[in-house]
Amino acid sequence: MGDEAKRSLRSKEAHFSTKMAANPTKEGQFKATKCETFLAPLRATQGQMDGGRCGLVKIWRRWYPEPPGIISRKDRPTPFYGCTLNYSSSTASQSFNSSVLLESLHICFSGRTKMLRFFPRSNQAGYLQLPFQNVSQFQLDIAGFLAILGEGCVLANAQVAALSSITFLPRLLPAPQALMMPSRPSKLEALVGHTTGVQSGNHRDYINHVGNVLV
Amino acid sequence: MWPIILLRANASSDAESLPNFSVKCVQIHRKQNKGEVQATLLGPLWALAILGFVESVVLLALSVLNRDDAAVIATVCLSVLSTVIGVGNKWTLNLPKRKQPGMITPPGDVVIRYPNGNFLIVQCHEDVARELYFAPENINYLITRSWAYRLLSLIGTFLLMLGVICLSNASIFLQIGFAVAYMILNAAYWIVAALPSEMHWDMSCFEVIDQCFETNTARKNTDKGGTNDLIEYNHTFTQALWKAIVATKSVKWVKRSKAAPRTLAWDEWLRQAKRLAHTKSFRDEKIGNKVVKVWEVPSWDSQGALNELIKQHIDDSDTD
Repeated sequence: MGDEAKRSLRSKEAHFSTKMAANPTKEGQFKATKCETFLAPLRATQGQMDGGRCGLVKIWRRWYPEPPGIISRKDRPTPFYGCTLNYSSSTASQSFNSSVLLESLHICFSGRTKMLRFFPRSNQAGYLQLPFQNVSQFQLDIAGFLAILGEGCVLANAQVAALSSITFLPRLLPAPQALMMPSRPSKLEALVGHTTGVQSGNHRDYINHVGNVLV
Repeated sequence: MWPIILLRANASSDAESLPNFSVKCVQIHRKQNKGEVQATLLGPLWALAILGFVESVVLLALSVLNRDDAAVIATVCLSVLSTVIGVGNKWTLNLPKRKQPGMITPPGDVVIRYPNGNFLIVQCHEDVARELYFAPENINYLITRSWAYRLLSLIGTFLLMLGVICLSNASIFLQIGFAVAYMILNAAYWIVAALPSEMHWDMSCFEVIDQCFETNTARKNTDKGGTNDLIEYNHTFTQALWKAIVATKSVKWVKRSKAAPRTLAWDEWLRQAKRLAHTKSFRDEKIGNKVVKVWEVPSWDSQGALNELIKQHIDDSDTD
């Protein structure tokens, strides 16, 4: 994107801000955190405007400048957010295209002018978080959760796994917190049953773990 | 490789998971110079550890190549964490050993009665019985002191916290890498958890020889002498108990094991069973390609005899 385009974007931004300031209205304002919830109120608002006809809005995000493939978070430039609206009225089809330089974005309808307006840097309530458009924007901040899932599978064989020396090997381990117990067992887990010596007279009200594994 | 392992796992049957009232006879003896019971060296758990290690190395390499500091710290923390946990949980099994080899060891046959009415009769020497069934299976930890273990847990928890925080700050590419690594690892752990537990134990120091009963007809059909074909299946608990008495030639253990009710009818039944059991012995039979000890079963309707005795003693229930 060249300087020309950048200037053009800035001017549009200014244009929309001015219009909004000149004609402040709360009508059709909405708050959304996801694109899905964003679409629904927009349709409703437009329905009021256009006598029941619905429009479609497409939200996009673009890097400026376009990053070369996948880059680390700290090197990432400020993203642009944009919005394209197509809706049909009884007379014509209109389309708006705008870019804003902020993560928060307000969209507002005015019933009288039938204009779609964008104004950034607003202090009014309501903001929009936009979903990802491609892999480089995929948000996975909860990847850390995956490191602590799967307690059941790691506990199933935890005892015998710690018998071998390979347990010292540094490696990835699912749900490591499951293996940090408040107190460690002092005996192997016995099974329910009766073990009786025929000649010796020994008797136990359980079955030893190793003996049970063998046969 | 996997189908072979699963087939092997199916072939060896867990006495508890057999149908109710099954009786299984085995002879167990210790092989000379074969060491102790251990964890299987190159088994599925070993493969899991290597898988985790390889993933760790791959992620570290990718993090360094992408100059992603957060991912490097996350990989190192989460990998070192497994070593810390390993040190904290490492243990050794201390089964009692024979202190004086060469001495005559008395027979120490063991009867194991499962809650579902199954019997497992183990013919072995007293030292094997003690080692496998009667000695407490104490776990000797490498880190014996409880405060040291908790200190290690503290370090481990901090490593985990640091690892998770850094993981969340890694670049998207490496976060996806971590997500994939953990998904693969979880799937692998669940698959291994589904395998039978005998695959994780190296019991090669013990030899298990199957035995069977004369009344078992399935043994004639088997070519290989598979374990499952030598198991005696019964319809009632009384029949199962009778087979167990035939193989042990004794009823003293029945009382200690509380396997039979303490009534006059049952006492009489046990006396009869013992007397009849001593009338027959065992013989060696070639089944498939191995010689199997076959217990001869006296022809006696154990169930009918018990019914008869209960009928006789129905009126003298409070003679004590």
